[in-house]
Amino acid sequence: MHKVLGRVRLIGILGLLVVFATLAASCGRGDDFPDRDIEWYVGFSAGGGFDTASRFIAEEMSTDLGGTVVVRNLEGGGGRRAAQEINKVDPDGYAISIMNMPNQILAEKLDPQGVDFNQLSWLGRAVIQTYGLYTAANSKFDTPADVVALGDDVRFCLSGLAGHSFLVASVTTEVMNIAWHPVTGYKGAETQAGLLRGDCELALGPMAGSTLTAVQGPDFKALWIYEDERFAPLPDVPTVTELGFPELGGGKFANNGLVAAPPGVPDDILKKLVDSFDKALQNPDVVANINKKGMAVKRLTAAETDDVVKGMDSIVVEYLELVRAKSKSQ
Amino acid sequence: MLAGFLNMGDPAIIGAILLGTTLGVVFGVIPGLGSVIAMTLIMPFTFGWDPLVAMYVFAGIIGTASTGGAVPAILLNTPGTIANVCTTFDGFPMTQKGEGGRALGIAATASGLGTLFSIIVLAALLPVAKLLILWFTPPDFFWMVILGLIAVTFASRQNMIKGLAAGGVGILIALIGFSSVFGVRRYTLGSEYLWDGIEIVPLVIGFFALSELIVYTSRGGTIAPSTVKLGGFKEILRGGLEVFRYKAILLRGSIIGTVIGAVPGAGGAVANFLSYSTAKQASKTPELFGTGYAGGVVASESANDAKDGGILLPTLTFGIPGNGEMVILMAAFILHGIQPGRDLLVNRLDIVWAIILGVIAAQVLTTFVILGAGAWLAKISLVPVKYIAPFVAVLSFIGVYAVRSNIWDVALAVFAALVGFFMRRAGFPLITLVIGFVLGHLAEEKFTQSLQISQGDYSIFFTRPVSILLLIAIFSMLGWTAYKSIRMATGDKKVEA
Repeated sequence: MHKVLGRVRLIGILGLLVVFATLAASCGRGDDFPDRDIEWYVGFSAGGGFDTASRFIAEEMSTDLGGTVVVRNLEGGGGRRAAQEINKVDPDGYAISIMNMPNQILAEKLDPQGVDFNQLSWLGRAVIQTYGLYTAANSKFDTPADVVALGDDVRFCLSGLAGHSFLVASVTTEVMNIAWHPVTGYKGAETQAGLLRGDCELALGPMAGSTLTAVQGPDFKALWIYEDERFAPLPDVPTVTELGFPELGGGKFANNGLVAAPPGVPDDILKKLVDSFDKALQNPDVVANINKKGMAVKRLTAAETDDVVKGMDSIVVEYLELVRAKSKSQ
Repeated sequence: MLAGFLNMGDPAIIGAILLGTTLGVVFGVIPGLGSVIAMTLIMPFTFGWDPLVAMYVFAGIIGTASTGGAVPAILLNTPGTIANVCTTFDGFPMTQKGEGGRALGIAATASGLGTLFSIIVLAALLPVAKLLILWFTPPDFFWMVILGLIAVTFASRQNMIKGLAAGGVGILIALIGFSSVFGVRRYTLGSEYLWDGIEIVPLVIGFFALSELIVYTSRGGTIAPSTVKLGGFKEILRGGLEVFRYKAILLRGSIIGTVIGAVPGAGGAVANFLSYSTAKQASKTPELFGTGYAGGVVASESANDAKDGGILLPTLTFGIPGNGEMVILMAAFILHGIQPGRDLLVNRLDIVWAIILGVIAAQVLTTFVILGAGAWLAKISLVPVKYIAPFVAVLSFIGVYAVRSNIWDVALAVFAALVGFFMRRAGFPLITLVIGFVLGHLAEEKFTQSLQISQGDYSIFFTRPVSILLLIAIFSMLGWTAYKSIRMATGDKKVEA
């Protein structure tokens, strides 16, 4: 009997030890975090807009968290390699990633690779780039009304038939009732060369970096931006809402650099990351450095970011068939 | 311009040129790296510097990276940058014959002259640059690529069937990956790695550098016969002066480099291949190409450095960055509050001249450094391969991994090395495979783009003046080759009779 009681006591003590150890480990997890480097995945090449913004924010977060946030470029598939990596790593808070939204949602819907963006633990928004439509300065379109009133077939210089600009072109022309067709294979500066040569009449892109510089110069002009309010660097350019198409506004087509951790990161660790990320974006030096790269900082809370992602997801779903149909017709 | 020259006496600017030149050469020499990475790394440090000083650093890197890349291409069959691939075709065979110093002399001089040519063209054409850039449209580009691909067909005259097969495989490899034109994935076998297609850096380093290592380590000894006399500085100087014997190749390479450089999206690698293949096609002795022929090195190095002037044209005049280097330069402009385009040309001519003079100064400096150090560098060819091989392998793997931090790129380089090794043994030319790979996807993209512009009307390919000129060149090339083949066959019959 004593033996049995002794065993029960021993098992009880061991059980309690296990419970205490687990509790201690889980309590200590948040307190000790981070006790090693945090990796910040960037799915794009070094030197680009999202990469540079990530480095400015990561440096500030390193100071705040008392550890090192290391930027790691996992280039490939237009950001999909980094998205897949963040989706599968351990949810311990030691890996976060910046995503190009809604571009990556569209890519995932068109060719599913198992990443559910609604399940990721969102930290907030790092940067935003206002999207706009532009043309060559000597183009036959002088005002947005010229494009809207056009009965003719208009050509858009686009990167391809699956990217964000193709989605925006498909939706815009559908809403504005414009006959159009894409001319593909134009990346970055090639688009501007295409506009000047007359390969196409219109192009879409984020009003940042070299595109913003171009439309502020004498060779190109922006016709509208996809916002409700005017964009400070282009004060004379109207918004789609002003033009009578509020359904295209609200910044839903803006290029967003949203930052996420894997699904299921413990709340206390996620809170530390979110607070540190938000604090970094409140540093005027960080904001000034990001602005210098032609991007804006418009902070979002984690919950707001979650809502923004869900909103983007529903827009992409709404227009997915239109994009597929237009893509197939080419 | 005078102010620009006077500025070059400023110690800060001398320091900037030296810094840019050193970075350009070091990043050019290490396989797989290059000017883009060098410029990306230095850019944040230039924040707060005088913009003029910063521009001299960037100009130094732009002017020297591909010249630095010629050194391992010639001595180790490992192109330092992708724009040096064709330099390996004749440069390395020269090293094998103990003529590495001479090849370095040729490369350094051809690079210097190519850069000077393109920078002079840049300075002369700045006022009318806009017209020239708009002149070259997608159908013209398509015919230019076809011209290069046809030249590939004849690039392996001794074994045209194997050459054609390798070129075809190169084109097929170029099709792997996501096609932005059609919005579909092709031949990716469900692999995320293949989404972006086959990366050129591991492919080229595997084919040329690593497969050569397999050959050498299995054979042992040294790259050049240990009994050969390297010849020292005299030999290098002879190589430098020898460039002037290939005036037509030099001029053609410089023109191709400048023109291709000015077309956004093309770049040094395309210029390099087109110059080499057209030089071979136009030569009276095409069989010498690929055997250690000095003209081959001239064609390659003049074109890849002449692209520097061409590529600056759209960047400075329109603010249109034609390649990765120029994207970083544009970012540097923005960082330093400089507006490219009309504002730059009217209000900040000091910056324009800083870049022009910086590229020239850095190129001249690099040319003299290579000419001076060439004799010492060429001694690598007499070092036993067992010591060189691990060094080259490690350097190659670091370079391959550094481009995208992807370990699968290293695996691809190893796979390419094995394929390259067996292709060599079976007599399939690797050159035509790589040319097919580089030009294949461009041909597809420009063909589709042209038809999208014309909404399916094929006449777009035959109505533009540049297209017609290129078509004439293509038919002349085909006609001349057919004529030579018939004459050769007739001559053979006469001999038999």
